[in-house]
Amino acid sequence: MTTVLGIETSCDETSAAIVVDGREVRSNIVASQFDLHAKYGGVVPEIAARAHIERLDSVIEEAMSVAGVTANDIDVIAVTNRPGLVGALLIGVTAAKTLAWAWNKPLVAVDHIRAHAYSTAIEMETPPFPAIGLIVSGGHSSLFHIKNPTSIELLGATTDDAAGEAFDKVAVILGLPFPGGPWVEKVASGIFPPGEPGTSVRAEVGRVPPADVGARRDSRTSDPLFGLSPWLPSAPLGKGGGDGEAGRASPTSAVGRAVPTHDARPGNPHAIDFPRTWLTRDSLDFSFSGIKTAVMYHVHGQGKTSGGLEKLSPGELADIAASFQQAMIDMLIKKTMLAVKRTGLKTVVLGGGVAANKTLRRALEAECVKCSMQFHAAKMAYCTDNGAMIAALGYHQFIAGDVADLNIEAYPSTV
Amino acid sequence: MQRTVENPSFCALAIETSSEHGSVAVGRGRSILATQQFSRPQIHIGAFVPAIREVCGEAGVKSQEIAEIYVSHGPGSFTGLRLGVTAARTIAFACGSRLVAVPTLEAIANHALELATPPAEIVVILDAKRGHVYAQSFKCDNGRIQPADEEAEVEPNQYLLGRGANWGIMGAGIASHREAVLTSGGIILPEHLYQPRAEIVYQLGFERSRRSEFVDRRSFTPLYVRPPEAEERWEARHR
Repeated sequence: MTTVLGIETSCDETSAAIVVDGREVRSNIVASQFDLHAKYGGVVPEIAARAHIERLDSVIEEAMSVAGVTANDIDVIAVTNRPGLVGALLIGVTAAKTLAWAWNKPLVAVDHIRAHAYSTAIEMETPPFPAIGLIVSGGHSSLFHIKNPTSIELLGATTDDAAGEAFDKVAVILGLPFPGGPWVEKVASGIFPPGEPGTSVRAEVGRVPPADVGARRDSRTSDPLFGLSPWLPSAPLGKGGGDGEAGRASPTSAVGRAVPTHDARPGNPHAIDFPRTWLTRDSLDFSFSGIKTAVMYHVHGQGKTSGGLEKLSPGELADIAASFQQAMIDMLIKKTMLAVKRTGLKTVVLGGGVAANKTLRRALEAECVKCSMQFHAAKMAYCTDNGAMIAALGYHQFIAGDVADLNIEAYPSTV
Repeated sequence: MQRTVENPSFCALAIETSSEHGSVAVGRGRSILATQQFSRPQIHIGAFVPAIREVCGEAGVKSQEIAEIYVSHGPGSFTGLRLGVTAARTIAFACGSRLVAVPTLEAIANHALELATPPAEIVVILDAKRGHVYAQSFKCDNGRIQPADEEAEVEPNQYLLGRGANWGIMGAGIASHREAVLTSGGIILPEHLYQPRAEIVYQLGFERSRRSEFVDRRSFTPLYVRPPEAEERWEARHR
């Protein structure tokens, strides 16, 4: 039996977990910084780093306490050392290295995105690999050929915005509150957030310097129009939060106009034919900046970056959200199935923050069923950034002999 | 293990990562047993924890023997300070050590005691960017350095002017604010004194620990002095 302490501080979640044999999660403590970044409309690296240092040792302490383990019971320390905000990563990396030295334990350095790819296997008796892994989050959109836990080959990645980033930016265009991505799915289904004019992140658009706000791990873009926000499916969503009907209690829409509950209807995913970007014919890479711009011009008018939102009815907003979401899902599914065709694999796994989008989960599952393929999505708890996936993949790396030295550093990009 | 202030032979670790050159020192009681330096801790974070391992190995001190940790906690490089405070908090958590926060500018001011005749008043400045400095004034009396005010982020001309005669100025901020320093009338102290070192952090930390000036691990953070830039801008927009 091998017990691993996993530490994750790559962006805006401070997390630690105790996982046994890469499968059995004894504890998984996640301290979200959602409340600290909300008013900025995106993750502020300096604020994230300050918060990690204030919370990490207590989060580790709680993870050990909940799991009922002491230092003597821990066999391995695993930590995310890439990709991410370097200032945030170094808190976890320094703590992990210090613990490895202080407790004389082996250290394992884990790639955050590969851990997301592995997260679909947590708590499963037998990992569903080999598989094609679609990993979509606020910072990444990647297709992997997961041969086994420690052999994960990158097949394709986004060339510009990440999928979650595109959702978040469209949320800003639609005047939805932070974190915007999950709200796009809600609005697409006819559920509107509470709030008055000016309470959404829209008030900050265009005035937040991208270097200061909204940095994402391995972000390839620098878009002056948007404060990027993370995809946080566990964050409070409207009155009552969470899923289902809670949001319907609100009498006002995101843009502050009265929205009688009975008027809210699900959006039509085929109402607007937003462009799908395929890049080259055989490319497994993604591009989502074009669709974001298309939504922006649809709302504000061709060539404009503001205005027009107030003229849209709740039904029209729902149509835009639903049509945008459908276009995103079409692109994600088509590329995934192209990867399946190319590799001849029979299993698809879905992970990352955007994997919490139920419409995407259902659509990808339906496509897999249609093609007689196996489909596994990461459990909701392992879609957001979490220490359990770091500990779980860390276990496999340790067994494979992939142990790190105390001189490891933190890196903004994946390999 | 007995870990009381009366025990004269407990082990302690001092950490200095606030500036260009980091260093760590390990000692027993008042005596420093080993030190190690490393460059640019805020950029090359890899060297820091190995330096702790090596300095303890050289001194024959096991991690679990570290009863106290003395940390230079700022102001200084945000990233560098976070490295030091993270390691310190983690050792305190892992080994049950007690923490002492050592003010960085006071550590620098103490280097002036190496001079044959240190000035009666000493100002330490570090560059804080945006035309500002982190500054603090100290009195030097009978070979002891005492703070005369608190660490602050200030406009250098405003802070330095009107101080009269016989006062000295030191710190890495002089290079970026030379004009303000030259017009202030302060005596510029030798540059080799500007770099805070783990040995002085150890000495000051040890003195504080004798006075039981420990800090709580869970609330111990770097002394940033300045809020995050995004927060300042947000406050300015919503004032």
